[in-house]
Amino acid sequence: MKRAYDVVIVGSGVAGIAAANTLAGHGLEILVIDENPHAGGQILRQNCRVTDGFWEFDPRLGRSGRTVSIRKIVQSLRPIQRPKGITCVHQARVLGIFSDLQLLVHVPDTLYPGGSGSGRVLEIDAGYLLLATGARERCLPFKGWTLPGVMSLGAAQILMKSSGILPARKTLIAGTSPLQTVLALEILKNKGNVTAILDENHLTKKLGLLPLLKHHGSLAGEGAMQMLRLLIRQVRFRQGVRVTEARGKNGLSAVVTAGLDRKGNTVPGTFQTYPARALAVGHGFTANIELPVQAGCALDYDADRGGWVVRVDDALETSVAEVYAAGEITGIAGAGKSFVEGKLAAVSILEKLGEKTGPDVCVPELVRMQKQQMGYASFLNQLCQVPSSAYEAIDDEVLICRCEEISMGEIRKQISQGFVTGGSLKKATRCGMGRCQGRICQPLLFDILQALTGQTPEQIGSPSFRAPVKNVPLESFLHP
Amino acid sequence: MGNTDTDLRIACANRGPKITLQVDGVPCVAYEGETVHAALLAAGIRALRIAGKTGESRGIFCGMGICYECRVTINGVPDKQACMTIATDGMQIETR
Amino acid sequence: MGSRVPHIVVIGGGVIGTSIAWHLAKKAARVTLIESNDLASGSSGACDGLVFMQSKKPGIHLRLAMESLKRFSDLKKELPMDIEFRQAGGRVVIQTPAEYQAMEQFVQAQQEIGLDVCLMDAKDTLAAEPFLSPDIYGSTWSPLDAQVNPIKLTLGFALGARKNHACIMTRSPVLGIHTKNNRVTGVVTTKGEMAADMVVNAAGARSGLIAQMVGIDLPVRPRRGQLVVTQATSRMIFSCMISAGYIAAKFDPSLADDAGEGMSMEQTDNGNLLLGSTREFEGFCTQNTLSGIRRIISRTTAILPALTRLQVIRTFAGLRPFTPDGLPILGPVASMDGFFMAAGHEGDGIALSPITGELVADMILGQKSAIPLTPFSLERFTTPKGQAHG
Ligand SMILES: Cc1cc2nc3c(=O)[nH]c(=O)nc-3n(C[C@H](O)[C@H](O)[C@H](O)COP(=O)(O)OP(=O)(O)OC[C@H]3O[C@@H](n4cnc5c(N)ncnc54)[C@H](O)[C@@H]3O)c2cc1C
Ligand SMILES: Cc1cc2nc3c(=O)[nH]c(=O)nc-3n(C[C@H](O)[C@H](O)[C@H](O)COP(=O)(O)OP(=O)(O)OC[C@H]3O[C@@H](n4cnc5c(N)ncnc54)[C@H](O)[C@@H]3O)c2cc1C
Repeated sequence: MKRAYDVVIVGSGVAGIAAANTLAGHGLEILVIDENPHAGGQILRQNCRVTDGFWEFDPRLGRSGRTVSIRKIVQSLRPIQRPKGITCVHQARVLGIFSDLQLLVHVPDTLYPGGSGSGRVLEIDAGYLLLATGARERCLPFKGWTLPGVMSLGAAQILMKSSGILPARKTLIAGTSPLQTVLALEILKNKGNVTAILDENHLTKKLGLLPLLKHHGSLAGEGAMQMLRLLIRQVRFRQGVRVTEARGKNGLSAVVTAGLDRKGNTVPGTFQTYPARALAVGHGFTANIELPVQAGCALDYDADRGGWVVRVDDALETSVAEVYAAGEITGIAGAGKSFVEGKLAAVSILEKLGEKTGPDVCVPELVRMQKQQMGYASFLNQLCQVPSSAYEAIDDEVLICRCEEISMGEIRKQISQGFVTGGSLKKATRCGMGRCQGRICQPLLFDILQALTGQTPEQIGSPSFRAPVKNVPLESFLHP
Repeated sequence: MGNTDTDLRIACANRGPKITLQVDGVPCVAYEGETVHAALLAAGIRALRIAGKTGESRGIFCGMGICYECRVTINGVPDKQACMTIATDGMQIETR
Repeated sequence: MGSRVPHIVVIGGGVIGTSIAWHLAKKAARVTLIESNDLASGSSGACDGLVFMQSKKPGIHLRLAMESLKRFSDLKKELPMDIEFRQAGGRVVIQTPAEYQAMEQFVQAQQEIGLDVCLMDAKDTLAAEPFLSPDIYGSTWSPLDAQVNPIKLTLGFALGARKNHACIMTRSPVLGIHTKNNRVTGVVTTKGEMAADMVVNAAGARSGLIAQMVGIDLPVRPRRGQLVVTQATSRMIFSCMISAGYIAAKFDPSLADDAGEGMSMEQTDNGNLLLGSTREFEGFCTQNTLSGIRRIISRTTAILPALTRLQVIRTFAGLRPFTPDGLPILGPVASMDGFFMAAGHEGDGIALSPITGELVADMILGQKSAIPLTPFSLERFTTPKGQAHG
């Protein structure tokens, strides 16, 4: 590993890989950093479990100009020899971005053997920086959501994809996310059982959102096919149902649900209990904006893109010069958009460097495709969105900040005392000051503030982050 | 824990060679390439730590390095994220 | 101005402004506090919470601090928020024989004026703080030193003020101050204009910008301090600590560059360790820097090696309102009637906030105050004799 690179790419998901592929072959020194043990980000993790090579998408992918489907992305990925000039480090974390694009990076001992077991922190200079840090899931809290056995939909998927282990013999699936069906199919494929899918959305809401998919026929088709396969497998599927409580002593043993009316309010007398050792639940996604915020990149709030996202221009440059962003962090719209943006950001950087890009890459065409892919965002994020009544209905005893163990009751109290901005509520409650630095509770707090106070996003304010954006052993700083 | 070893492991999945971890001093079978959090789950261990204030048990939540709920001590180094660490033979893991 | 009760506008929702507002409101004054952002969004939300007596220069500085300290136990009861005040003593860690000699003299001067402080050798120090490095040379110890949660203190003052009918406006930057015949008459904020009989400048590191609005030059400069925060952990230090180098750096800015900035360590009620801090003149920039973070970590781990087992979860930085002589500027200014200063507390604003609020409120309301304010007047920098304290 060198101490300076022409381009540093943070994240090796679909966006990061697509960008690296496009940048390769121009004589540039490129560093790809990812904190995961393997490349692939959130959807390719199973496909990328090769150790020393690299990956490439079939260069024909996306050339037709039509929307790129997840299936095609997965199918067109292939392992290749690591191209010259590309260095790829895993289990390494970018902790901060400082002036002149100096990065603070934590690398594991495997790269610098003989250490203390806590790795070390290095400074690396980047000529250009591409942030492709992806997204994480959101979850609407309920009583007992901190019990072992309650996990995100992605966590259940990751257990299977990365380690070949089922979340439980029988898994209960809930929430509003399209990952529910993806997960259910994955579990069935692996010979596990799905107790039921408890979808909070009523069929009418879903039908109402269909017009948003008019340019995304293939995605609508994929969704329909998934449903059909689940029906054939006779998976129990209930709509308009929300988890209200997870029960158990030191781990999950049962889940209580309630039926919802059209507005999303729970209907008295519709409670039902399911025995369960694993509950996978999710309510959509939120962008991993911590690093860009720390770097000073401006944000935009757009509920249709998943909340706070990184502001970029047509070339995907952020408000900080020479820092580009691609993939879910500019708007949650799935793998197709991440692919197109990875490519577009790379081409923009190549153009800035005065490099000739191949005859098959045409910037206006990529920009058009990017806008087209972004069209899926409204459908996806509206589908996942939880009505404000759901936040109003959270019981006082439910923990909102899992790290600092701050309850909804405390949050209500401080809101009523006048702490109604994101920043002041954090100060008054400690919500978001713990280990995860608000990654789980800040988006929630934001939605709670919107629901309880009716303020605009600008009034509530965007979150702030400082280096290190992830916890890092203090010891790792002691080696210069 | 009896046959939990084979309980949750997916039969058709590609697996590395068998390895042994020490979990709170007890030997535990795993396979190379598995993450620590998955190996522990397969061994029937869901609770990985105790939350400081409420004293509740916590386990896997996000599974992807975001939430820090799955912190365990690995080979004497505290607060390692079990979901981001690949299990290796002889690894000493302490929960709680 | 319908009512005859004068309207007092306090600019700045940090620990100083909120303390003043609370003291005024308790005495039934008509107060509006105006804050450009959120409460405690300035230095008071980006600092340590040391209420340290040992770090104050014997003289008016220490006297002010001692008076302030006395008020904390009452505040604990009076404010509608748990301010996490804990008087567990404080320690100045000595690392070299040269420092030991210098501290001997400092302690002697402190003891002469009655401060409860003593020197300890390495053995006694390590008996009290077993996690400290065996390489330390000794320490000075005072049971008087204490700590508080600065954010909660600020929010507590503000909530207390509101309970006593003060009006608190946040997210309302003050853009200008109206005057007539050398007298303040009102303030202009982003939310409109407001009449005022008196205006208190409690804008901390930005107080110079407020003073400029009425044509006054202040010698207040922002002096950045960076801090590193660790995970919460079981007790690792039993009292708050600073290094002898810190005392040197504090009283002589030229030392901060080469002789080092010193270090401070505090473990909060929640269990996190706050490791500090840097002292840098970088304008209003509140970014953290790589070298700042590295300096703090290497200095603190040299004294407390057990830190290496912990993880860093965050850093932050605040701006100390620096004045050339290290004392705050308090009270009226000669050139503008109705304009009062309450800023420039450098690295002591949290500790000095209770007494500052009380003195400034008393002075504004024309009441007898516990300590005369003359040594803190702005004019000390302009009159030839200057440097009034000592
Ligand atoms: C849990 C989860 C499961 C999902 N499952 C599916 C699915 O099954 N099907 C589907 O179509 N879509 C799924 N998605 C949507 C998915 O986000 C997109 O389809 C697509 O993979 C996004 O690609 P990306 O490159 O933008 O980001 P990602 O794939 O999320 O890649 C971002 C990468 O950046 C790394 N990273 C982030 N911050 C840092 C840092 N500071 N230092 C180092 N590395 C860092 C991360 O480790 C990650 O590998 C899922 C999303 C999530 C959050
Ligand atoms: C790293 C660090 C460590 C420290 N440690 C300690 C310690 O251990 N003990 C201690 O006693 N002190 C400590 N301090 C010092 C202490 O933080 C300050 O002295 C104190 O916070 C100053 O309070 P203040 O109210 O004057 O300023 P601030 O808290 O900055 O408040 C001023 C307020 O005025 C507002 N404002 C500015 N301009 C305008 C405008 N135009 N209109 C409206 N509002 C405006 C600002 O937004 C701000 O909120 C430390 C400082 C730092 C940086």
